Amino acid sequence: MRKHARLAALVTALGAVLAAALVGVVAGGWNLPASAHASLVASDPAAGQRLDRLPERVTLEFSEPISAPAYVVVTAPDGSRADQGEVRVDGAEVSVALGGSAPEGTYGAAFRVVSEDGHPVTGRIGFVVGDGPLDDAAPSATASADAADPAPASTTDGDDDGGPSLGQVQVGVAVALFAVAAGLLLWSRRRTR
Amino acid sequence: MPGGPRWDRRRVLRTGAAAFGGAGAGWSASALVANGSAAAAPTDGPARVVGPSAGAETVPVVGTHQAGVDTPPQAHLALVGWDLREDAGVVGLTRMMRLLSDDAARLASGTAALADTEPELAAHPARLTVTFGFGPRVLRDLVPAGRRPRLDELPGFDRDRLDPRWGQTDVVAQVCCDDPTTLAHARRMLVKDARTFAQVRWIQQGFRTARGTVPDGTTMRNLMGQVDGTVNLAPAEPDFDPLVWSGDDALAGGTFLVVRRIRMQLDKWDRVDRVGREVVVGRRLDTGAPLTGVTEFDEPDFAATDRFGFPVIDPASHVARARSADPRERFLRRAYSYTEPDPARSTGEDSGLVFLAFAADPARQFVPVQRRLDELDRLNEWVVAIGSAVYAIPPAAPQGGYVGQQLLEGKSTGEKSPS
Repeated sequence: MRKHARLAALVTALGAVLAAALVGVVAGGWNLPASAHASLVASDPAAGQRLDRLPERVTLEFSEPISAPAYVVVTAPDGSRADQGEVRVDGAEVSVALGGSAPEGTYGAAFRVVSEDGHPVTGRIGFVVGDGPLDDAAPSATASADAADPAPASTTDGDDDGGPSLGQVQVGVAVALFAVAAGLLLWSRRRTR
Repeated sequence: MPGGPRWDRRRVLRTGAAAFGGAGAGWSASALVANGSAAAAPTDGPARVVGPSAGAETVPVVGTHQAGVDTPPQAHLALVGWDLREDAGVVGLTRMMRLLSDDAARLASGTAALADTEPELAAHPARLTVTFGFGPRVLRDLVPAGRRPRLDELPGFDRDRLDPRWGQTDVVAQVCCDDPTTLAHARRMLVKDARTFAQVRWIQQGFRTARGTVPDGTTMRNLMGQVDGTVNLAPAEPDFDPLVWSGDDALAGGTFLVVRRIRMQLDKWDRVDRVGREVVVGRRLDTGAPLTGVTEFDEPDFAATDRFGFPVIDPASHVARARSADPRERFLRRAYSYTEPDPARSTGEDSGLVFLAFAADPARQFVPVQRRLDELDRLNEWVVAIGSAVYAIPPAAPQGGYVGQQLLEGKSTGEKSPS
């Protein structure tokens, strides 16, 4: 049927456009300076790690040297502050001493640092002391500290106050494109049936 | 004109009428703009004579102050630093200041200087001002202790990388003008007439946006792209006079000038994205508004926090570190950008800011702020002071006298009554 053929052609064309757009977004994204900037590469304790007791320090390791001062706030399960004393900056490592009543449960270590080349990195990791559940969605220990926060957005690549990060934009666009593609596909099938 | 289009009389007349009408409209519009900006100027500042063109505008010396301090900054700067010749002494300096004061007064009014070899270049003063100052050595060696204002050299700052090439000199002239040709001529006249008495150590040229590019009174942008100088003293403020004009009897009507030549590492700055740049400064790049505000003059809210509990404005940002709780730690900034070819650098240029600040007492007003920035300021990663100097800026010349006369000869000679 000519009508169906035309529809199929339309869907194919749309799909090609979407694919091209997606490639463009991803490739374009790699050229942005943001992607070359500092990110959290490891931490001790690691994100999502379960510990018998509160460690003496939390240490965050970034992909680039960090310029002082850096800010780290560690929140205990009861909402009290578990970080004590000054945040220490040593090259790419940022650490702060922990203390207090050390209740069991999930601890959140939020950080805000600026790399030596001027790039701000904000994020949060969670870890558990004792048998309590891990409340936060556990972030990976790599650059995606943005996954650590259930709030609209947290980021490691340059957005310090809530806008979507480059990664999120890339993913979002991709999801939207695929959603449209899927919708069209479904629509075309229903029509052909 | 054979073969060309026929111009009948009516057409010629119409064309002429249109041409003149258009010119008239343009003229009225420019006059309206000029008058409008004059009307908008603060009434208690120095009066500005508004002519039909920006080139005809002059900045007269009013009252006891030299022009060029509370004058809205002109587009171009030539800051000339001289070292007195060894044999100059107080006699030489007196003769030099007499000559230069006369040159400055004539040129500022659009009149050629005496023995001006290019008198036509003086015809468009374009708000030319010349502001003279004396360095600490002049005050110490050539001004009698009884009428010597106190002027300490700036303390050393850890992050400074001072080059003597841009260092302290004996005499300074801040020459400012909206027109670069007029400025070049005035500068050359002054340097020519000073040659017998003093040797030029440096000339620091600078610029802001050209006159008319942005509305008068717009805060300047520096070469890093930042709106620079939002928090500045305005002549309309009650604090302006006590914070700018010296309270020292020896320098009544005068002030002090701090000169800092600040090099910007723009190639390094290129690698910082917008978000990073805004965090470093604590202000938005587009509007100059604090990160906690919407418009440029919103007060920064240093207590505001983001969802993690971190301050929105980094306490180590330039805005946070430059800010003082002490309202006396403020001064009048009158900075100019500079950019010069420098083939020795990979970028081919040397760019930055000729930071000029006027204060009644630099040690109390400027030094504490600079100490804080020296201690910690995220911006330090990209800026470094390579020149530093401080000068006493004498009051305006007494009637028929010269700038600095009150210091060099005492007040007896023709003291000008304050208006």
